[in-house]
Amino acid sequence: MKAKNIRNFSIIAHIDHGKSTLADRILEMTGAVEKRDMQAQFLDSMDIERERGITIKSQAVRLHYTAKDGETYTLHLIDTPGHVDFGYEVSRSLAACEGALLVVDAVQGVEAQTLANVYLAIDADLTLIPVINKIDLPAADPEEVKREIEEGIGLDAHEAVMASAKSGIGIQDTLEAVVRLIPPPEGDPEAPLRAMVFDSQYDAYRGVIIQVRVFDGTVTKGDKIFFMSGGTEYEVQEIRVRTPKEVVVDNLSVGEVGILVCGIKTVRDVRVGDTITHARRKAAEALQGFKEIQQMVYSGIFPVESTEYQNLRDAIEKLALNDSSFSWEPETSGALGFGFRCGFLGLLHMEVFQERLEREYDVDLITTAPSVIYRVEKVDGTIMELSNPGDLPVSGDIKIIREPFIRCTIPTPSEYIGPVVKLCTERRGVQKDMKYMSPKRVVLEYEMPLAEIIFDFFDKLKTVTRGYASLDYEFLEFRAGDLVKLDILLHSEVVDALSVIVHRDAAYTKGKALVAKLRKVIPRQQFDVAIQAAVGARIISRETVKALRKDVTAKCYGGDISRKRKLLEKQKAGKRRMKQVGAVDVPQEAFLAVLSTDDD
Amino acid sequence: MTAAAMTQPPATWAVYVHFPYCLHRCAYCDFATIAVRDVPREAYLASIVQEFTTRTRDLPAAPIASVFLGGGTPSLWGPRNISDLLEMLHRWGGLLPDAEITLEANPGTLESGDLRAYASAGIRRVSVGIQALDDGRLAALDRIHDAGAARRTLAEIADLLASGRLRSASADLLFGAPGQTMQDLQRDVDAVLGYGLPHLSAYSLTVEAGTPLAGQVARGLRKAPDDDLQSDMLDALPKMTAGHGLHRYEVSNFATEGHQCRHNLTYWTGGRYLALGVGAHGFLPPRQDAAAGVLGHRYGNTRSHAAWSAAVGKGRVCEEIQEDIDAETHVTERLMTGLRLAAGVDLAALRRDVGDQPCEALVLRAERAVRRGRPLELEADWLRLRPEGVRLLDAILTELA
Repeated sequence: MKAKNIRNFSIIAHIDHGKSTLADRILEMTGAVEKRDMQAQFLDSMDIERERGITIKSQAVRLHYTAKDGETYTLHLIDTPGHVDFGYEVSRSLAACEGALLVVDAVQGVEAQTLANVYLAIDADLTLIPVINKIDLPAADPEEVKREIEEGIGLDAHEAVMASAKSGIGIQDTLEAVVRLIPPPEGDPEAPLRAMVFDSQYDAYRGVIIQVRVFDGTVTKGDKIFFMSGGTEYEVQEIRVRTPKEVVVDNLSVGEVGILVCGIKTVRDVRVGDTITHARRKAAEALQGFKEIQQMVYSGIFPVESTEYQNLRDAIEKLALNDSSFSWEPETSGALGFGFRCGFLGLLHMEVFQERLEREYDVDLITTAPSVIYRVEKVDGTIMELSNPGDLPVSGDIKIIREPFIRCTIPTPSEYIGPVVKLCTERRGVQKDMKYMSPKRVVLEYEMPLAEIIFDFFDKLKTVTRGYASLDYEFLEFRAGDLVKLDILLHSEVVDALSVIVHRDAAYTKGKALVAKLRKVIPRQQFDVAIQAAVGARIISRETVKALRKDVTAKCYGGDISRKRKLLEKQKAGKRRMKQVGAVDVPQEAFLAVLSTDDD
Repeated sequence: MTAAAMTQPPATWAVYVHFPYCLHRCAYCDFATIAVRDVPREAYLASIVQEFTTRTRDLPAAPIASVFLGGGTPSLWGPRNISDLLEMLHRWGGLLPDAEITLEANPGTLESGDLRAYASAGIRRVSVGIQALDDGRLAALDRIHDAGAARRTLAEIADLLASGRLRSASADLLFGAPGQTMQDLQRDVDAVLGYGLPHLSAYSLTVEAGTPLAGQVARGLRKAPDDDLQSDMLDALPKMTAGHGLHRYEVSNFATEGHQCRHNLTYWTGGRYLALGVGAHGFLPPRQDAAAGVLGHRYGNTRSHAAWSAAVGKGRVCEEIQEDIDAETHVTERLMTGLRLAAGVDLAALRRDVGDQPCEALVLRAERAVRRGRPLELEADWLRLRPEGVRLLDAILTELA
């Protein structure tokens, strides 16, 4: 295939701005999918992707389109993960393209993920084509949105495509813009092979399948290939492309996108972003942009019933098979028993993972409050990384604790600037920029500790802006902070699963709020339960759940034994949902108490 | 050992008859009661007879060891109707010579001489709803009688007991209403038992969902009972009654030797009982079409008077609860009622009734609870709560059941 008739592009958009619907229409128009086989959001194959309207895995499809110029083009549509938790994967998918459609909702305008994705696309040097979607909605204001694109993003919106993917308006215009504006791939077909891995998935029948984009040379079935960063060698057993039905092909050459099956056992053996070359004729240099992924948010995951441990372990292992950005290791908690410490790219990644565990594997979980990763420099000069507050060394051994900082992008209607600024300041944020996209909409940029947004920041942001602000963030660097471990004691014993690392200035307020919240969620027991918050040996707050004095039914309701039994069963079910910590029955919600303490 | 002992019909029957009418509905009451001015005494009896005929069609007759007329206020039914009712029961299975036949009565509804007439009609035990012996507290409880009426009723009962016209008698007291002190309760207990009653039921005032009292508490019109004080009272009651020779044999029930309520003990030890009337609950052997493993059948008649009388008029019943009870469920029931008894759960009887295996699971849980320091005593054939455990019984039950 001639590279000049190839166009590689992806679609970037904020959640719900219509990315998947546009992809569906493009598939229909190019005849890749018959209308009667069309399932809404064809590319999102997981239930959870369809429900939440987000894409977690990348998918690439090959389409054929005969343009108005009479030429037939091969289009590779590379659907990227839709959230910046998966920012690295997004950047690799974008690196496999020469251009991108920037879909913006004609009512909502430019939102946080639009911006974040645009920055990634600009970094990847892509040609961007604005597509203003949902123009047939009554509240649509395409001119205002054009202005936002020009002012807020600095992109020429002059040639923006007007579309309504839902109604099928502007689909052909979009495809024409793709072939006309996006440049064809450049590369040397005679040079040593260089292909980039932009996604890997586990398939129960074929092992790991990897999606690649060829930049130089040709890869052919039977080739011995070499992963330049991984240092491993495999044989190409099969090459396929999705149309979206999978079709076997003999080779992939410059500019082409496809799937390699090479008998790789686990997704951990392949790294997204790695460069593939021939084992016998290696390229001198790998493609740029490879990075080791870094988990940013950690949480303990424990079975409610300790007998469920093995089931939970199996479920985590299965899910991990297909998620190379997730990490896990065994963890034992004095309070919660045997479980796992799990690392995630971000909050959404964590939520999606936990939801899949509960939904697909039917395990009841107790998850501990999420924590970021801390870098601790000890007095003896050694450096340790920890994500579990319980692992923090005694304060005398600590020289500096460093915590991850992020850059937050918050587009908001300008009338809410005040409350947003106040919220960010409370969360130790430092304002870096404030840019008006239009008289009504502004983008705030803050540098903030990641730890401050992983609890309830997003909910709070939505509350103070009546749902109109959005949020995106990217990792910046580790910075030193005056941080301390806040312990919670129940019945005089430290409950490790409730410890949190907080800024020293916030320790007292946080401790008091946490203790007050726990007093509300921990039910009265057969003895007094003291709840204390402590920093080191110093108790900073204390409350008591008074002992239950009386818990006995007065009358046995005559012969109505059924009613009495049902009451007992109800009480029993309530107790079963609690975890015994020492002698104290602690309800599940207590372990997440730290997530929202300031609502009362 | 067979697991089927319980599937056999009982050797003797207990019969409960519910009389739903009251002259007034008390604010704390959540029983199936109807407040009316004119009580349809005869019509209600006719419906009871119809239900009895329907229910006993497939039921093997056996001697009757106890009859309990509860309510409502069955002392509004009239001696003649009650005599007709007892005669009908006697014709069916025969009332045992020492059968316990109890009538619930409310002081405010009794004329002088009424109890004597009921005793003549066949009643052998009365249970009177005294509740308190203080006018202020009686009014607060929304009762229609005053302390004077209560005392007159108690004096009449004392006479009937002394002359042997009644075999036994019990009084109900409600304790722990806001404002009542420990001394108040002691005075009530002393006054009631001073009349020589061999049985006392003392219930802590409970705010039951859906009652007018619950509404008043929710709207702040009334104080909720103080749990801590009720707990202390629950602990103090055995001492208060011991001076009069009465011992706690159930959480809320105290009696001298031989005067424990046989009918209620049937409920509490897994016995079967036939129940008649609006909202009445019965426990019968398994129905003929029951699945394997079913040990008994519980039913609860509808609480709607209209639905009940219409059904029985057509030779049918109208039940809002129907439950087939298997071994595991029954073990829970036995535990639930048996731990309320001072004697405890009779494990030997339970093994006989349901089989060894479902019983062993209970014993294992009990052993674990004992190791955890719960106030329980586990012997080869008995599982019982130590006295100090009474006030936390429900919490302990959730661990055991």
